[in-house]
Amino acid sequence: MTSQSNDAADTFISVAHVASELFKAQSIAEELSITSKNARALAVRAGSTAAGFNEITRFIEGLSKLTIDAARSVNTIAISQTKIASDLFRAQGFIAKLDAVVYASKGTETDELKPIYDVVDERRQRLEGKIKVTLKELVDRLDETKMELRATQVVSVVSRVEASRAHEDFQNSLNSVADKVSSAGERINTHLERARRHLAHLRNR
Amino acid sequence: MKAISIFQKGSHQWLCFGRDPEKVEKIIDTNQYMISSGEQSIILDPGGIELFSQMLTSVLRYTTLDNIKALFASHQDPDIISSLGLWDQCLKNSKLYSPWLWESFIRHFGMNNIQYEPIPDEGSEMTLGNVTLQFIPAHYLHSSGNMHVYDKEAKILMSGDVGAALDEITAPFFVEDFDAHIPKMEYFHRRWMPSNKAKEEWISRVRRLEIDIIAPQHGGIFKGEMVNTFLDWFERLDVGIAKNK
Repeated sequence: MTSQSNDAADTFISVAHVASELFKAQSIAEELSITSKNARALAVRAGSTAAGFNEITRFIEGLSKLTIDAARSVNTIAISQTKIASDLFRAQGFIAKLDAVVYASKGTETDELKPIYDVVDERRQRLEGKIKVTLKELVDRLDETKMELRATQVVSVVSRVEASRAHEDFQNSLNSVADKVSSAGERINTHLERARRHLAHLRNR
Repeated sequence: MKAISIFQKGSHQWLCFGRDPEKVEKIIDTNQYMISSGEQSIILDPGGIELFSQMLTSVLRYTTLDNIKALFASHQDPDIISSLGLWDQCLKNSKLYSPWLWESFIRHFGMNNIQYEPIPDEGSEMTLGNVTLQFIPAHYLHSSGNMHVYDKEAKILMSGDVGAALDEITAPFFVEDFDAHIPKMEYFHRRWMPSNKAKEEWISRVRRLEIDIIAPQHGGIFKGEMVNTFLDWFERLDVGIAKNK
């Protein structure tokens, strides 16, 4: 097995890991979406003292949607990238076999293999190029999502302020919403961090 | 690729992966199963090379590569195990359980890291986490060396090509209307299964097991009363219909 083939195998494994981390982030974002809907109902019941909270729930819903959308698009990129990497793995494997044929034939009777070699090698180069492009796309999308998710901590703090203004019967429930938002934000970030780490060593090549 | 849980009790879980909307049109749709117990998982009939990327991505949502202790190939067909060479790059210290008959054939798919565990003709058992899985002989259904997987605790029989149907990609995971399902599986069974004798032996063996779910490698899964309805139907079916002239 060549080191190039190992790199390709490493790529499809790492990218599949990225997709799985984003899938987990998506599940948390879906929970966050339910939290936001419950919070909206709570804010309505709490009446005018929780009017500010009602606005915040829209923002929470937006964050949840953002994560779900990001997870979906990263998943699409990741599946396509895993496919490209496994195709590359196969192309590299094929080239290694052809090299073995050329070596075994000691340079004779291999002329007709040359065009095949060239076609596959061209395909290999194209796949390598595609991997670089989609890898960059993947990293950019992750960084963008991470940046946008910084807002969750702000939302959590503002939620606590708004909760303190609401009628005391609702304060505990509204604080619990703030806790959930904060925890969801942290957990989503952890998955994004892990996804980023899976990509870091690929980008350093 | 979609995934559903068909059994769960604590850490003991059966997942079915399939109905892949991104599948290439002319490739037959397949069901892949993953059983997990404790920290260990096994993938049953992991599938062809063309759906490896979707499968790897889907599997990692539920387990880690380190926890995949084994693969199982019911027989040697490409839609069952041609992805082996790629799994071989991902899995360390993992085993492939498959009929002994196919070892020297299956190795053609590429196998440097995974260890082949040949299953004898009479079947055998393996321990996965806290559960015991039985390999049940299903020779000539349709392959000459063929095994199914029975999980006594989950009461699930993974039946390879037995019960297989050419379902639409949008079809539900479980068979809901047996009569409507027959046209999707009748020709497949009559043409692919070569021996009525083998079929009868298998039915008699399987009827002795307690089964809630029959999980085939293609098409809808049989659950509850559908299990016996399927066995009765299969018992009546005349198989091995191809003529040589």
